[in-house]
Amino acid sequence: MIFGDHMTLAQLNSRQTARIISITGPVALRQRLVALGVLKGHTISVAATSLFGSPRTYSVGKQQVCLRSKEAGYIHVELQA
Amino acid sequence: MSPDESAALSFSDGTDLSSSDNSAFTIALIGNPNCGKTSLFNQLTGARQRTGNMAGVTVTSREGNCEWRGVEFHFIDLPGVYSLSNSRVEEKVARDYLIDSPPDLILNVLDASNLARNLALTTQLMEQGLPVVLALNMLDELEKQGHSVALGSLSESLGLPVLASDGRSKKYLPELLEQLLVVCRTEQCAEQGLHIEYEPHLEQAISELEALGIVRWMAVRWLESSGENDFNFDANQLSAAQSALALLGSRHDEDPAEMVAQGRYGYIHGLLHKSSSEHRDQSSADHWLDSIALNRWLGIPVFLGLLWLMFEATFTLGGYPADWIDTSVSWVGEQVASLMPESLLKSLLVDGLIAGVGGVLVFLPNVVLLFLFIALLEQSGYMARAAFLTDNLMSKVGLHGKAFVPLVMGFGCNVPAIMSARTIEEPRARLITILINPFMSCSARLPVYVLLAGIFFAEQAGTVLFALYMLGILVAFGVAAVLARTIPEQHDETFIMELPPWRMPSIRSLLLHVWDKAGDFLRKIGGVILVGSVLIWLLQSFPQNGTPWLEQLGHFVAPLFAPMGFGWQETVALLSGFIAKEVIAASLVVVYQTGMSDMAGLQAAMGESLAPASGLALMVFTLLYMPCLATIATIQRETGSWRWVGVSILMGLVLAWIGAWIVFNLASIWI
Amino acid sequence: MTTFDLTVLLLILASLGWWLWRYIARTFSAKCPGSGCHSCNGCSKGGRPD
Repeated sequence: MIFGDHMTLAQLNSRQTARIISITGPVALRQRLVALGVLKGHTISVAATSLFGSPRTYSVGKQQVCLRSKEAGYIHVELQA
Repeated sequence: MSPDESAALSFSDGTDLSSSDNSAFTIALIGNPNCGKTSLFNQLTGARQRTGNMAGVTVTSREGNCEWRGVEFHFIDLPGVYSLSNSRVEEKVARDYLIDSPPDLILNVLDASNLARNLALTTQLMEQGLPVVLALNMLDELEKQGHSVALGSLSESLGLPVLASDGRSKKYLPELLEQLLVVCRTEQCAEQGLHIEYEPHLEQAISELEALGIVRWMAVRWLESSGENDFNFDANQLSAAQSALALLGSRHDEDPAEMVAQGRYGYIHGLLHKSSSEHRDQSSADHWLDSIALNRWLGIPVFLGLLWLMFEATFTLGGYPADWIDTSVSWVGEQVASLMPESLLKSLLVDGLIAGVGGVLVFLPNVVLLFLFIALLEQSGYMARAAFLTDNLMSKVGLHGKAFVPLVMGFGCNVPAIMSARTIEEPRARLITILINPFMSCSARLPVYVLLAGIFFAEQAGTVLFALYMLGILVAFGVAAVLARTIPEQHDETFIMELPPWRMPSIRSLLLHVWDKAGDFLRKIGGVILVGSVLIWLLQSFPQNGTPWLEQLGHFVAPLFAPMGFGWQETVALLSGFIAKEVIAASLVVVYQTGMSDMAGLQAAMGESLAPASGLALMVFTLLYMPCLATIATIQRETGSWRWVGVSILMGLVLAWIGAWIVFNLASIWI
Repeated sequence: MTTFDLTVLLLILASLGWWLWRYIARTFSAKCPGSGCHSCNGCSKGGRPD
C-alpha cells in the first residue's frame, strides 16, 4: 500500500509505522537528519506527542528523535502494514 | 569561531609533535553527544566537571592530564558531535582542531547500545587517516537488551584497537591506558585512510576531484557538506568541485550527504554483521518512564510537580545541615568575641567577616542540594524530555529549541550559561537567549530566597521558591516574546534533537559534580562575598560618631524603594548585590546587627521591621533586577556591545521595580 | 581612635581597594573567563584557586 508523495511524517498517526521514502527541505536539515542516522528506507513511528501536537518524538532505529511538525513535513513516508 | 574558542584550542604549542620526546602524548576524545565521553574523560583525568546529558554542553574543549607508567598523557575533550561535516559550531570546533593541530592519537568513544550511528563518525575519522582507538561505553546497557559485541572481531574488521570502557567505574581503565601507551609508542600512523566504495555517480565525482590533487577524504567531506567544509581549494579545484556537485544534484534527488551516509552505513552494517549478535535496527527506545514523562496530558503536570518537589526538598532537607553550620559559626563568633579585646579589628572579625561570611555559608547545603537535583534530572535524561515538553511554548516566544540548555544552565550560574548560547547560530535567537538569561534565577540568589522565605513563609517555603523560579521563567519568556517582535530574524535555524535513553545516574559522578559545585560556592564565599561583607561593615562602622555612611546612603536612595515598604537596610543590601547576589544575604546579616550572632536573631529582627508583603517583594526584586558584575562582563563579551549591556541592566531594574511593586500590593491585600 | 585601629583601617582599605581593582580587571578582561581562574589555564595563574 503506497500513499506516494501525499504522506509526510507530520501526517503519520500515533499508532502507525512507516518507511522513509525521501527527505526534502533545506540542506542543513537534511544533513542533520543524516548525521542522526535518519535515512531513506528506515522504519519510523511516532513515540510521543506533546500537548499542542508539535513537536513529536519518533522512534527511528535505536533512538528517539524530536521533530517539530514543520521539519517532519519534509520527510516523506509510506505506511507499513 | 570567537577568539576565546580559538584560544582554548591552541594548546599544541606545549607539545611539539615532531620532537623525539616520547614521554608525553596528546590524545583527543571524540564521540557522539550522550555517549559517555565526558564521564570517561573525568575518569581518565580526575578532572571535576559537568557531564551534561544534553547535546552541546561542551562548547569549548577541556583538557586534563594523566600519568601512566612514567608517560604523560594530555587529554582533550572535544565537543560531542554526530558528524564532522555539518556546519554546526561544535562540529567546526572538532573539525578544525583535528586538521590544524592533529593529536598523537584519537580516542573515539562509542555508545555500544547504538553502535551503528556511533560508528558513522568513526568512519569519518578513519577516512581522514587519523590514528584511532575505539572505546565502547554502555556495554552493560547492550547486554541488558540481550545483545553483545565481539570486541576482538570488530577490532579485526576495522583494523583498530577496540576496548571496553565505563564512565561509571575504573575497572576498564588500566587496560585502556595500557593500550593507549602501546599505540602511542609504536607510532603506527595509518598511512592510508579507510576506503569506502560509494554509489557510482558519487565515486565518479570523487575521482574527478582526486585527479586534481585533492585527497580522497577531503573530496568526500566537501561533497557531503555540499561545499560547506572549506579546505582551501584553489580556483581550479573549486570550480571542478562545484560542477561535480551540480552534476550530482541533477542526477539524484537525494542530498550528497545522504548518498555518502548510505555508503557509510552499508560499510557499518557489513562490519556489525560479523561482530555483533544483532545488526538489525530494532527500537529499544520504548521505556515505561517515557509513557509517563512524555505523556501528552501528564507530561507537563509531572514536570511542574517534579520542580515543586525539587524546591521543597531543597528548602527542607537543606535546613538540617544549615542549622549545624549556623551553630558552628555562632560558636566561633562567640569565642572570638570573648577572647579578643575591644578594638576595630575585633569588630571587623566578628561583625563583618564572621557575620557576613557565616550568613551566606549557612546556605551551602541548600545550594548543593539544588545542584544535585539539577544534575540528577540531567544525567537521567529527563532534562531533554523537559526540553521536548516546553519546546512549543519556547518557539511561540521566539526562542530556539537549543536555548533550553543555556536557560537551564542559568539556574546554576548565568556566566557559563550565557557562554553556552554560542551553540545557537542564528544571531537573533542567540541574542534573545543571552538577554533573558539573567531572569533565570541563578544559585547565587537562592540564599536570599531561603533566608527571606524562612523568615516570612516558613510553612510554604518550597512553594514560594517554586513560584519565584516560575516567575523568573515567565518574565524571561515575556521579554523574549517582545524582543522577538522588535529584532529582525536573520535566518531560520532548524531544530532536531535526539532524546537520550534513560540512564541510571552514577553516584560517583553525581558526588563529583556536587563536590565541584560546593567548591565553587566556597571559593566565592572566600572571595567576593568576604570582600562584600567587609565593605558593608566598613561603611556601617564609619564615621564612628554620627550616622554611618551606609545608613546615609540607604536613606538617600530609600525613597525609590519606599513604595514596596523596604527600609534603608534592604535598600543598601540590594545595592551591594550588584557585586554578587549572595552579598545581599551577607549585607542583611551585617546591617541588622542584632547582638545575637545566629540566624534566629536576624530572623527575629527582620521579621519585626519588615512586612511579609515587603519580604515577598524583596525576593521578587532580587530575582529580576540587574545582572551581577560577572554576568555583565560576560554579556558584553558575548554580544560585543555595551549597548546590550545597558539594555539588560535597564530592563532588569525597570521590571524588578514594577514586579516588586505589583507583588507588594497584591500580597498586602491577601496576606 | 587608637593607632592600632588606624593601622587596621588603613590595611583594610588598601586590601579592599587592591582586591576590588583586581576583581574588576579580571572580570572585564577579554582573556579571563567569567568563571574565575579556577577552571582557566589562560595564563601562569592557571589551575590555582582565585
